[in-house]
Amino acid sequence: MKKMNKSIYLVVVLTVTAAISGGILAYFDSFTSKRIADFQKSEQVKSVQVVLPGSVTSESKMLDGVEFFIGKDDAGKPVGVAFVATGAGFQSTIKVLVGMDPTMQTILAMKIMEQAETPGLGTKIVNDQTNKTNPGWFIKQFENLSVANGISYLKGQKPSKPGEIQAITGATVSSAAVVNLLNASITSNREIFLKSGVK
Amino acid sequence: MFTTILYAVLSMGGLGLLFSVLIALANKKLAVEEDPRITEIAELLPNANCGSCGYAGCANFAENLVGGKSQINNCSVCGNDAKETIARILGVDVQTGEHRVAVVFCQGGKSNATKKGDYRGVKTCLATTFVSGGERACNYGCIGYGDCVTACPFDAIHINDEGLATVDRKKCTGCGTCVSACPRGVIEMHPISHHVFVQCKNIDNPKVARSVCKHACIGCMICERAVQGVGFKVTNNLAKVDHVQYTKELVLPTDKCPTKAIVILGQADES
Amino acid sequence: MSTGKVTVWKDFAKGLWDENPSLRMLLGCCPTLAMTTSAINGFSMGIAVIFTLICSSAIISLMRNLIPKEVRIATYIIIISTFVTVVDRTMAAFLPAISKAMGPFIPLIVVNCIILGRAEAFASKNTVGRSIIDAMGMSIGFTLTLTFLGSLRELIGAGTIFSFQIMPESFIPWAVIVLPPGAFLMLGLIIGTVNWLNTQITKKTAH
Repeated sequence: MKKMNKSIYLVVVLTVTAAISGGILAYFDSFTSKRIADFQKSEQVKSVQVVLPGSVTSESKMLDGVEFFIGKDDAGKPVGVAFVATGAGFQSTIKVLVGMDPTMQTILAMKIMEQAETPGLGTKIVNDQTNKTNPGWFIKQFENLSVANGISYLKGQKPSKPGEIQAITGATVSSAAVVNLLNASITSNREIFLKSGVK
Repeated sequence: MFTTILYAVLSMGGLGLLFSVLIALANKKLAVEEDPRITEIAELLPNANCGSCGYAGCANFAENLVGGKSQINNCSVCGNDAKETIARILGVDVQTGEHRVAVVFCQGGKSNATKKGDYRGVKTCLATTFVSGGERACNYGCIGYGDCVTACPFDAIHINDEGLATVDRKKCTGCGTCVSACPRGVIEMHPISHHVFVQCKNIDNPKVARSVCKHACIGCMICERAVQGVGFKVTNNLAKVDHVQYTKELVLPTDKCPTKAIVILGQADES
Repeated sequence: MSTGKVTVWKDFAKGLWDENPSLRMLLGCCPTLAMTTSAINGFSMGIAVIFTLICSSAIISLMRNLIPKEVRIATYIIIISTFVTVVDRTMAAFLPAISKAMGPFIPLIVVNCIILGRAEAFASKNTVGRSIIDAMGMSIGFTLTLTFLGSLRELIGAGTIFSFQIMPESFIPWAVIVLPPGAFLMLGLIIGTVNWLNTQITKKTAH
């Protein structure tokens, strides 16, 4: 009989503790969830404004399972369209927010959203500290890059033809990874977007 | 918002219920039957886990007591009240014996013992026995690096300013761990009613003994003659007290011991 | 009540040096190694642990006589994870940059040995007051260690502390220090130094 009560008691204690914990967290979540959602939205808007220079609004559209952000300036004219390109890097998944012109032939600007490449080497795609005047030079190369025929990279030489960029010395794999993921997603997204006829 | 909270409470509570039922079932099915007397007795024991009873800790000793494999008196640390309570729980009789304490048979501290050199090795008594026996010239005395102090579970023995091990007779529980720890065998266990000791273990001839320590027993037999051989016996150049025969426990046999090797310890002991 | 004061201070101070969770007890090595790539990361992780440890220890100590020993671990984990979730959500809402930098290590505080260890070893057997003091000492000791280690690694691995450039422009940072091997190296060196310091201190007090 004593054992029976002990069992019931321990069931009660654990269940009640779990239930109270769940209740507290759900109540607490109501304070924070809105802020978190708001923050994520504003981050997105800010990022889109960076990759679509001149845009003041960004509108999200899902086409064929891909999210496109259409940026318009204050006159209501479309500045361009942005999307997230994902691909495998050297040791992590790289996510790039790419902003392109409405015809998707030129990259306006882009921003690396997520990467966990080798610190000091692969991370140079974001921030190259050995270049004191222009640490973000790698990404800057993609600004106003004509990509009608795809992007290619050169090692150790300055680019001469349209669509060419220079890879980072000692971080060729990371540089190549960025180029490859861009090529893949630009080609497929271009098809989706232009076919949809959205402006 | 209320529905979110309700769902959270129900889902978490449900999980808690599920797992606690599992635990309760497991608790029943996998339960180990344990005699409740074991826990009762274990709480009465000193719980110092000194091991002098010969078992692996107090809990183990309690188990064996209940199992009838051991006697209460094996625990020398236990006070008489605790022993009687344990005896009552077990339904047995117990002879409460006399409390024993450790006694260090050496007076060869820094001021008394002759130094034979500087020891620069590992500062434990045991380590010195492999090299040279430490810094003091006497081969039978306290080395002074405190292996006994480290071994004592009750903080009852310390190395004093003279570099000599000294026992706090009030704290000592008589577990005997220090006796095993001392590589020279300088420590002995004695009932607390014993007070007069020849505090030396040197068996070298008088000339050598005298040269290594100011208070060494040189085996001159002045004490033995003073008591007419009843209570003091000199063997191998060392005098020893026969506590059964020596009845004048708080009185020295004579003031004439030339090296003052005979001492009275624990005058304030109540026993 | 001089003896009372000594106990309170001792309860608190032991977590700072004698029983420092990272350097002497070697608990919570995972965040210690992973979250000290920079000073601010180490500091933020420490703050998260301070909040979680104090709250968990307080609640567990309050409930110590109610929780049966069979469900001890399950109940402690529920309590700890509740507070960790609160910390995680609060950080995501109000300090999103840091929350992103910490990644999965905030949720991992649930299984941080320090929290569960102190709950088992101390909070479940002592009063609320003492448990809170103990938690404060342990978590502040942890924070100081992490901030120190993070600063060291950031200094050598990037030349900055808390993003302030300390090293001269010509200094080429040792990238390996901010990578996992560097974490082990630096932590090992610090533990070795602390042990050496301790032997010096005990030598001094013995004389």
